[in-house]
Amino acid sequence: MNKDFHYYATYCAAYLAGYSHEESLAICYSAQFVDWCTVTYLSTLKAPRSAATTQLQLEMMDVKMNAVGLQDITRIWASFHFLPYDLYAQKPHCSKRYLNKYRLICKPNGDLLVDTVKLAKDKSLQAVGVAMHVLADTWAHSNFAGTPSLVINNTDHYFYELIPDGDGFRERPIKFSHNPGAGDDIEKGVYVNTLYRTEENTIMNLGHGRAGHLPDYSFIRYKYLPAWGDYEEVVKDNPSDYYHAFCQMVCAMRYLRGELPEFEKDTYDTEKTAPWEKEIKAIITKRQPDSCGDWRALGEKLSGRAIEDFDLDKYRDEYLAADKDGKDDTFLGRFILAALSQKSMVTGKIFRSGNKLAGYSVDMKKGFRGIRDYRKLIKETKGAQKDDRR
Amino acid sequence: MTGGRRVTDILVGVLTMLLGFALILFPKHGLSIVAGILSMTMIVYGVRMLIYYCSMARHMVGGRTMLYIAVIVLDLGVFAWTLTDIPKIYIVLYLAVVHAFSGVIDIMRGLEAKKYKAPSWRLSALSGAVNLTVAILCIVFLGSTDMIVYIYSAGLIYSAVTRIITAFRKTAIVYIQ
Repeated sequence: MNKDFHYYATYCAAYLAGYSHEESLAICYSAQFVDWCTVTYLSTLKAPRSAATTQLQLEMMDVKMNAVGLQDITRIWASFHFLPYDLYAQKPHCSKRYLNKYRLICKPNGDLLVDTVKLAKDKSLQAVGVAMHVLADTWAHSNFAGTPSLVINNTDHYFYELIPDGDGFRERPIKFSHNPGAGDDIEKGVYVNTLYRTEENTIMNLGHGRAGHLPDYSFIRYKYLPAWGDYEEVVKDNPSDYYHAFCQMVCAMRYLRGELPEFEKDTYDTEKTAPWEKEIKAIITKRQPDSCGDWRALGEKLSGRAIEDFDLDKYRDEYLAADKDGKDDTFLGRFILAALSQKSMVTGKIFRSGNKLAGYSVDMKKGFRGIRDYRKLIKETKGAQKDDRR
Repeated sequence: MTGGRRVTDILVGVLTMLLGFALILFPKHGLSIVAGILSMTMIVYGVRMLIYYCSMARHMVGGRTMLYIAVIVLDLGVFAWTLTDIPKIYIVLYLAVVHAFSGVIDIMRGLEAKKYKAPSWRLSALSGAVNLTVAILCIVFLGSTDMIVYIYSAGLIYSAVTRIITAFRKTAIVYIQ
């Protein structure tokens, strides 16, 4: 998904869920910031690098594709952009090595989604934003895994766009090019994707790179053969998925606000969105690479307030100016804690399923071990536990 | 990273480093050793691809391509191994291309880091400049067998050092119940 959904649509969902204009802005800023919080950016703030929620293309090219490099990539992409659906999935006659990758395939409504939303309960607005990014991406990025893998993420020439035509759809073959400078040509059906590489662990085979930006466009419907799918055709209906994502975000945020007692899988708030359904569906199905303008107009109509554009450096000075003890109370400080918490939770679940692709996870009952950055998270959690006891 | 993996990485790193130093000490036999290493690399790659096909790619749509590639690379590696004299120009070109590619990537990385005002841009840019210089040196010293062996050895030692450093990196992640 792109800024149109992670920023403007998330604002709309947050407002419909009952958050104020200011709270909705903080939530959608955090949701969008997940796509910008790189190690490179964090290093300019002298902030904990373990809180990175994404990677620049060249950062990924820099990573050595050994076990450690692979874990670094998987921790980030599986935790924030390709949340695994079923960590214990089975497929007959497969090696453990294959299953470890297969089990990281992202789909909506997995157990980890519930864990993600519940992790943000009673936490900061930044934590809500992080959770909404993860939730939304489970819809857009379904059928791909957040780890480099040819056998899971590859696609082949069998790729067709389904264009609405009367009561049905007509098929048009999708052509892929590998020149990022050329950009996507929606009218001609030519899209940029990553190069076909035969190495299992190259970054070219990370996530939906081999399908280009198709999963990120809300209007498109297509059918293809996922590498893991045993030659069974998959039809991806983005307009339907994006609408489900929107309604599920409203539902999740109503739970996080305390309006709903529980967050369960496969529940969508169609009631709150009903008055706006027609407008939302019109935005989602409009053939355009960027829907920011339309979502922004809808958001401003909902709240009657102007929505500022996303500014990466909006909270930078606040973080830099804060003293050492005060950094955690800044906007970015709270985002960093939320990111560390999400990454810890997902890595822990993957590790406990017997899969070491995202790295190692240690229990803290016997004292601190591991990466220094996480001391911050321990401190925060212990503080929260003390408050609960009071 | 498991303890066993760390030990293996350190051992492979130390052996690679020793090979690099040995080539520097005995450059006269260096070229044939380098050619041998390159052929062996192809053979190992072919065998690894075969294993990859059996354990992973046979479950993949279009995975049989991996099997064909494995057989072709293995065949080429064995063929190259049987040749007694590989023309020096191929080895020089191989080294030049590898270093030039790494150099361009490092410089692009440095420029991007600079755009984000990250302090790491100097290290990336320096690494890129060194790699590009080495690529140029490969072409300039085309006639000198010793120099080519020195350049290849330096690459081996660099790779060994990074492998050893990686083996000592912390990989544990904290999970809070």
